[in-house]
Order: sequence, then structure tokens, then C-alpha cells
Amino acid sequence: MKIKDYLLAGFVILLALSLSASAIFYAAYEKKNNIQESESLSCQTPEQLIWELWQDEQSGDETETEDTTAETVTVDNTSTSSDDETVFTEDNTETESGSMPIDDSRIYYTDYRFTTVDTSYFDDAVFIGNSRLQGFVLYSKVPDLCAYTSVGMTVKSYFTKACFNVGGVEMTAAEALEATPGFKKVYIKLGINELGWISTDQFIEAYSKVLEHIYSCNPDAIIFINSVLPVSEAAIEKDPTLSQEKITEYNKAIKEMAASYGACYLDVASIFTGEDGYMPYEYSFDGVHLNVDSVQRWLAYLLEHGIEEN
Amino acid sequence: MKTHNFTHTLLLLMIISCVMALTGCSSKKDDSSAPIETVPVELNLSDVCQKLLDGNVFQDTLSEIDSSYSQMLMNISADEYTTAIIYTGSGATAERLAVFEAADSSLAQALKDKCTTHVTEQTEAYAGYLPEEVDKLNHAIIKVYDKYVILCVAQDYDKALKIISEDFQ
Repeated sequence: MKIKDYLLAGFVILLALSLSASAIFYAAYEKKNNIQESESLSCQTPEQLIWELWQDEQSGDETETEDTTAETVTVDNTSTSSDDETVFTEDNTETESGSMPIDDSRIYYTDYRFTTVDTSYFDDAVFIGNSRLQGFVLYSKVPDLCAYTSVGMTVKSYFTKACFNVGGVEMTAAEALEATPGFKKVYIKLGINELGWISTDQFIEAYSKVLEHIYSCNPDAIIFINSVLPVSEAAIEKDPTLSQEKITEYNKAIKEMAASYGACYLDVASIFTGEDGYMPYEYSFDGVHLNVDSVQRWLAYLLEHGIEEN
Repeated sequence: MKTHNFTHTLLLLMIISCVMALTGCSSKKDDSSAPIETVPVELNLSDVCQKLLDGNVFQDTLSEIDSSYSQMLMNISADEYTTAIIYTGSGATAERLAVFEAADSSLAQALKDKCTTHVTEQTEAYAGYLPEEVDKLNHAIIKVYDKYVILCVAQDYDKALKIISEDFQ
């Protein structure tokens, strides 16, 4: 009987030890698995992928671009049918505005006729601008627009303010655009934050540098320059730096700049200007920033003003 | 008697070993599946937002935006949460309302850090753009409750905090 008891005790002890050991090893194994899982949770975002692609591109062999004869897109601007054909002519003469020599390495869009498009037109577009354009991007209800917009952006901070996180790196709008391969269109809206600048010429000179940078990233890009939207009288009373006269002057200069660069001027301001020359208050929350309904009108305007791509 | 004591000892030893085995096998994961002694937290994010929107705490008219813009707006990518509802102002103010559901509470803490960074960046941006908005940002409400995170930048931040505390305990 004594031997039996000893055997039984030994069996129980052995069982207890093996159960405990299994439990401890299992717990340790699960803990190790958890650590590995949490390390792999940080997936690459699309922006990280774009950054890697750009880096790969930069480290690849650079090929020289061939000089091409300048192509000027000119179409009959009497009709707005979406079935219209685009006529391409080769033209080495200066543009009608006459102030800028033609850059042989890219396409100029002059005398363009607009065509109606849908939101897929924005698939290869980048939106760059200030808080008003940010409002457009957010309230347009069009998902996944590529946008580098920020409150307070100016034609200068486009190059200087690093506030866009692309692939984990803080970049300026200019750098972010360089890190966005494959874009073909740029919608840009700047100007409201520069109304306090001393001269219109300074503003246009700085704006021109922005356009030149965009063309350096893609010489064939279609740039749509949105006019500076009007403001309400009440907003001007609250903020004296806002001036409807200055806005009108800026827009005139922007239109001329667009023509000289072969970019497209979008007179969005026209659909938000009342008979008195100011923005009707019902279009916005504060006389400056558009409300959701107004953004939908802006979207409709953009969709009616696409351009046939080259 | 001796055999009886011995049997009792054996029995006790078996019970102890079983208890140790059960303790060792219990999950040590820090995930959202609740430990036995707590009740899982489930919040209706739409209801949480609606209470604040109806609570008259915002000066601006907030509108819901597509959650895909969380990256652009707040540097929070879509793979950092399972659900997100985001409301922003018109651009006239810094007001914002965002609620997130993360996969688990540890990821929720990471989201909270992102929200904190976002508020810091907004404060810097609005200091030079609309300085009167900085006070709202200084009183931004960022709360975590289990796997849920809420960010609220409002004019009446005291009232907003009271409303939020009903759900985010």
C-alpha cells in the first residue's frame, strides 16, 4: 500500500508540475506574439508609398528631356459642347499677352474652351491653397482629393511653411508637390491672406514663382487658378485689411498672369459676387469662408470648367 | 488516520496545481476583449456627436466631412482607427469635433497622442491667422474611454466637457 501511495503522490506532483510549466510557456508565447503583432500594425499609408516611389525615382538614372516645339492649344471658343475637338497648332510666336517668352518645353493653354467633366477629373489633380480651398476640399463631399491646403497659406509660405506630413516627413507645399508623382492638374487658390501686401506687383511676382515651380514639377500640367473670392461688407467692417477693391485689382492681375503662363483662369468669384460687388452674406458663415451649400456651387462650377487634356 | 491525512494532502496538492494551471493559461493580451471582471464598453459615436451638436457649444456651423480626410486634416491615417466621425467648421473658426473608435485601448492611446499633436499645430497656425481662436484650442477636450477617443474644440468648452463626461467616464 505504501508503494501505491508513493506512486500516486509522484504522479500527482508530476502532473501538477507539467500543467504549471505548460501554462507558463503558453503565457510567454502569447506575450511574444502580442509584441510582434503591435509592431506590425503601423502599415504604410498611401503617402508613405508615394514618398518611397518619389525617393526611388530620385535615386534612379536621370534622363535628359528632349526639347520639344511649343504646342499651343487653341480651340474655337464659341461652342461649349463636350464633343468638341481640340485643335493643336505649333506656334513659336509670343502669346497674345506678350509679356512672357514662350517656354518651348511645355504646353500653353490659350483660348481654351471649357468642357463639362465629372469628379473623376480630379483623380490626377492636386489642390493647393489657403483655408478657403481647404473648405472646398472638405465640404465638396468628393472623397480622396489630393490636397495641400492650410489656413493662412500665402504665395510665400507655399515655399517656406512645412505643415504637410508626407510619408512621416514634414514638408512645405512645394516639397509635397514634388513628392506627388503623376499629377496632371493643379487647382490653386491664393490671395486672400495677401491683401495686406503693399503692392500688387509684389504679389504677382511671388505668385509667378509658384506657377514656375509647379511647371518645373510637371511642364505639361494644367494649372487652374481660382480667382480670389469676394468678401461681404460686414467682413470688411470687422477686418479692415480686407478690401473688395484690392480683390478686384488682384484678380485682374492674376488673369493676366495666367494668360502669360498659359494657365487657366477660373473666375469663381463671379458666382459669389452680388450686384453691389460684395459677397452676399448668405453664401458664407463669416463673410469670408463659404458654407456647405456654396461649396457645392463651387464644385458645380469646376465640373463645368474642365479642359480636354493634351 | 495516516492514510486519511495523506489522501487529504494529495487532494490539496491536486487542487493547487489545477488552480496554478488555470491562472497560467489565462490570456495576458492587452486587447479589447474584456477581462472577465470588466464589461466591454460600447458607444454609439453618432449619438455622442449629436449630443454635442445639439448642445449649443459651438459658435461655428460644423459639417461632417469624409473620414478619409483625417490624414489631411489631423495626420491620422485610416488604418489607425476602425471608425471615425469628423466635423469641422467653415474655416472661420478652429472648432472641430472628432470621435474615433480604435481596435483596442492601446491604439486609442496612440490616437489620443495624435490628437494632442494636432491641437498643438492648430494653436501655432491660428496664433498668426485668427488669434481669437487660440483660447478654444487651449481648452481643447481630448478624452479616451477604453477604445474610444474624442477631440472637441468648442466655444463653450465647459458645457462640452460636461456633455462628453456623460459618455466618456
